Amino acid sequence: MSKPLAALAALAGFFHAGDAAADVFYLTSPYQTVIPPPPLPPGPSGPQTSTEAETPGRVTSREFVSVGIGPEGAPLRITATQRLRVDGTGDYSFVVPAPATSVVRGPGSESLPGLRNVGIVWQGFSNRRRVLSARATLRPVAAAAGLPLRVRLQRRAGSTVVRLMNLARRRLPVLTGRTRRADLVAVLERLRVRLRRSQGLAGLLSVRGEFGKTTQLDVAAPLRVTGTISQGTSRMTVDELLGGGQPLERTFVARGMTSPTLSLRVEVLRPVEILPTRRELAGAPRPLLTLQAALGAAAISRAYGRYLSSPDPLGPSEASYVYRSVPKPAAVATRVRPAKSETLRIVLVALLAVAGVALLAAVWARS
Amino acid sequence: MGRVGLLALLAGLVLAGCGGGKSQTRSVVIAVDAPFSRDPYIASTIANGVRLATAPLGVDRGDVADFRVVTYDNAGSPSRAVANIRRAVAQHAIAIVTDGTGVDAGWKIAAKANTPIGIVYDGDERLVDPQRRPNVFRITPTNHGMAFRLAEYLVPKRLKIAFLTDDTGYGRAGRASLERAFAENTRSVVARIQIPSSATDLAPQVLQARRAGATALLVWGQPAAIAEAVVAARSAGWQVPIYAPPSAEDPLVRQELASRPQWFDGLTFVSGRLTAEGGVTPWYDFERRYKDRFGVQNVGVKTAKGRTVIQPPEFAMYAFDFTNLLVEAVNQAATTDGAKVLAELNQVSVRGANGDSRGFNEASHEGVVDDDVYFARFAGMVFRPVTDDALSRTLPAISQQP
Repeated sequence: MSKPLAALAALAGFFHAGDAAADVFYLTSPYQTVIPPPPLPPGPSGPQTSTEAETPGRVTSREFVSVGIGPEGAPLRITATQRLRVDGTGDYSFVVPAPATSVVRGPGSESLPGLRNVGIVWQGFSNRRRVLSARATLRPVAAAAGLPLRVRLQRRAGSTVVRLMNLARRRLPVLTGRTRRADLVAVLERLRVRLRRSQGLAGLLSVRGEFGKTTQLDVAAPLRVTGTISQGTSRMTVDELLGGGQPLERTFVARGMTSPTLSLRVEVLRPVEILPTRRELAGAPRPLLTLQAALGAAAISRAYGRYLSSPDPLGPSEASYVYRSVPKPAAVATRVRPAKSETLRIVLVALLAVAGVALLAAVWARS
Repeated sequence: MGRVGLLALLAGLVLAGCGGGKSQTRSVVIAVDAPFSRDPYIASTIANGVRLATAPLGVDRGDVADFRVVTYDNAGSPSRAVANIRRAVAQHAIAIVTDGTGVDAGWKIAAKANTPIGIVYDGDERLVDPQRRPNVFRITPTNHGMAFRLAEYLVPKRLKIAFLTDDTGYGRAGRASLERAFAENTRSVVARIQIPSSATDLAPQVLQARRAGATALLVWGQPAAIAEAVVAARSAGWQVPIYAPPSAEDPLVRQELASRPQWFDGLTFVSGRLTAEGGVTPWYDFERRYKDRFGVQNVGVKTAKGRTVIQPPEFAMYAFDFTNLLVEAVNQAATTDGAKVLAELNQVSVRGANGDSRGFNEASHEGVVDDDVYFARFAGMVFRPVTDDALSRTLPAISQQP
């Protein structure tokens, strides 16, 4: 059994351990997986010979995603710098799936990354601790699908409208039911304590009560967007929370004829920042739904903390995203060369053969 | 010519036109270019590794092609190696497995024919470059990795090291890598001495190192040079610690020191580890198959207790792994077309002879990562991993008795 599977099995064990009481039901887990991307899928490839991921211990991931956006706001260039810290002594060997076109050693890396169609390849030996850092250039279309923020720039009568949209949202199934407010508050406090202690495995959460039906809930992970929108000499400061009780979209208007220059930093909030406070939960009209929505948002937030996946699915991870305006690449005219075709060769040979047979038949008929 | 004859000729021409090229061939050649006449131990172990890998393969097993091994002797000469590369290309070889001799001069010839070259002995840093030499691959520890691991291992010991490097390509490449590895610790190096590979007495060079204040010798050269350096130091009564590259494992070194085995005790060499973290089972399984087919490689010396010493088939393992990767690439490409096989070599992995995962990728054509470099020390004519290095102390000693 692989280490990730073993860890998930351990998690399941935790789940069942709290199952003793019959009047208990389970809340949404802040560690549940949500529909990807993120993490990004592997690059295009044919059938692969897979080798099991191997790490000697916990792996911590930190990522910095740089998004170069064009005049309309579409991502043109995306690079991801991932810093993995392997704790433990022993061999490591794994692939970080990524639609990467190139990869170079990142800052502070104690090993060199490799590149395959499927992603970034790491292999080596960790002596107690090892830092693996890679900077990968990604295929923009595939990589854009995993970004948390969409930027749109629209020209409108001497100005440009800049729209920022939170994409870190999903429709999640959540369990409703009947429970006491005081029990929910107690669960919240326990969870806060665990999350402060570690970003890692915190187990699933049960609460006393009667479970009802499963309902679909639209949930968004709040994004903190900071930075500037510059137009000529004027500069607008951006400091917005998209989600978390605030609108998921925000619009700015930059006056001027030229396209504004954007420099924005996007942070996904940590789960502990997303959870309601004790007072908020105590005052919520539907406290169970409020808590479930927050837990779902934490799960989505956690997913966006793994833009590139980590070999340790339960290890701590965080990601930050920077969007910057870049010039649109000039179109390059390429001459299309006719491909050398084996089929064409065979057809030509066959035609020649047919002609030859006809010629021979003619000679034969006259002889 | 009769009518029937004319028609048969035409039909033959048509069929001939449809064939040709490597992509249609069902039986392909793997060329082994190695110094059979100059260093038969290295050459035969490489060739045997390839033969062992190809023995069970073929169309009957579901592979894309049957594989035939053809050997060429380069005698350690780059010009002969280049000629051999030409001959292998002319034979439409699917790949050339080599000790590394002449690759610098001949890789372009193979590249034009999309023929992969697999180096399984020489760790020269310049030989492999995925961007400039996309057809050159290597499975053996690199000089870069070994030199940096040596620096990492020796500098904290506060030794004053004398580099003794021979004037062969192997020695010069080692010297260049050592210079880079010790560039930030130049005070650790007190002498840089080149030794003639033809010399039979290195007493003057060893004396020069001693007078320079050396407290350790790092001898990077052919097996004979290492043996001569040991003889020169010990015969002068100098019990200086001696460090060496993988060529110190060559049976020739121990054969030359067979009459004075105690002189060889303590020599430490750097190489790629033979076993993976999973344990010794895969290695011993490989070694057993090797012995069953080719017999044991006697070193020609005995231990202190009088037992025969045999040589583990280390470089056969690298040749074996390269061949399996090549075949995996051919099968994934579903063709023997060189360009497609080259592309697949960047994507596939296999379980290596020692249980480790082996593979190349677009950014690196090195099949042995620098982290897999370990140190071993001789005692009683057999070697075992050292205990004062983080990786080496985790490794088991490999049996060297029949």
